[in-house]
Amino acid sequence: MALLTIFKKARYGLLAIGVAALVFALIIMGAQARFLAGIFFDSGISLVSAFYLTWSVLYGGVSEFSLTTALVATISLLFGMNVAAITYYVRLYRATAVSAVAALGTGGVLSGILAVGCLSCGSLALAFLASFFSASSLLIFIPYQSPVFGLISILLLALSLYLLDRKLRFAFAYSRSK
Amino acid sequence: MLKNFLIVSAVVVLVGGVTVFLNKEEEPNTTRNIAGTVILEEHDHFLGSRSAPVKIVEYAEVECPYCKKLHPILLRILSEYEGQVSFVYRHFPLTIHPKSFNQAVALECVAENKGDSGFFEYLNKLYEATPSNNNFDLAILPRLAKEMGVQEEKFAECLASDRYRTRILRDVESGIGLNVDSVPHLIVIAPNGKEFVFGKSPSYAALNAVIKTALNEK
Repeated sequence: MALLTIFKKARYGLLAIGVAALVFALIIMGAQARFLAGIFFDSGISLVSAFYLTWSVLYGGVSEFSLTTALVATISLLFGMNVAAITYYVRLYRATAVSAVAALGTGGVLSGILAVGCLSCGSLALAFLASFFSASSLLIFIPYQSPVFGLISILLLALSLYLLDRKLRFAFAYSRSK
Repeated sequence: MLKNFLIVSAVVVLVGGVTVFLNKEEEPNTTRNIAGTVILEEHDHFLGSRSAPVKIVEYAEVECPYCKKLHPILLRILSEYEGQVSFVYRHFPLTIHPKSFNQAVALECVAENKGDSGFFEYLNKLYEATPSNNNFDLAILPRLAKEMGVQEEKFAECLASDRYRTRILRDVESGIGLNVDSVPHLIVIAPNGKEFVFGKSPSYAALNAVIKTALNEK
């Protein structure tokens, strides 16, 4: 598996974990954006208190495990892996970086973008596309707190990784044959 | 590699910052003075002392799964800060859960007989009984009320009447006035009137931190 070869390299493993941690933090804090905006811009509390409250939001997101947390963690990790794999691929073809990105295929990149999730709706991009295609009425059939969007995001990110893996295997085989 | 990571980090932080900024633009008054917005009413249902220095006002409905999940966290906070924190429940039944309006009426009918303590005992029972997402069996409302010693006939008459409709809609209107657009929606009011607004269900850790901060705001 080409992806394993990449993640065995410390720098790409760290890149994947770093991006995953950032995305996880952003999603957890994004869910409380209104609260955070309030404490930083309107409440008049000290900056120390504001950072303490921000930390408590993050800490609560990590320490109070739930299905939602598990979905967010999985989405973040898969997203981090996608970023690391794409970075490796682009570096492999640095000379023709633009064409290399194009060569990744719309499947991998698009499905990765679509799958970026938020805590409550699962995927902003999916929700947007649903409304774009006048399919938002279908949302009422998805129960409140349903993990449907989150699961779709995970499937799309996994598909993206699979497509990247295929491209990378092809690239490895090609470079060995030269 | 470090450069790539920094670029990705910068993009992620930038997107986050824009999200928070846009949120602020949409809701410029998330933290307000108590006199200006959250006005505690005589008819509000209080759990804990009305004179407690910190008050948590919750807009909620029984069929919302997030509200059901948050409820034990609120009860835990109340027991840990006994005498320092009180809880105000306001109805905000969503149209996607029509049964939550019937539950709101039933809660008011129980309160009519048993006061605020009965209101919150019945609320606990409803949360325990409901599978959420409008899957509650309305037929069990009288049984749950009877278990608490509410007279069947009185309860049935109250449910059939329309007398609490306006009361519930007043809660909804007050919520709309406070930019409540989803439930649960929490407003923690500090002793000096500062408000901390959670538009989404907070974790125990986050709510606990806000209570600690609010208690220091004198």
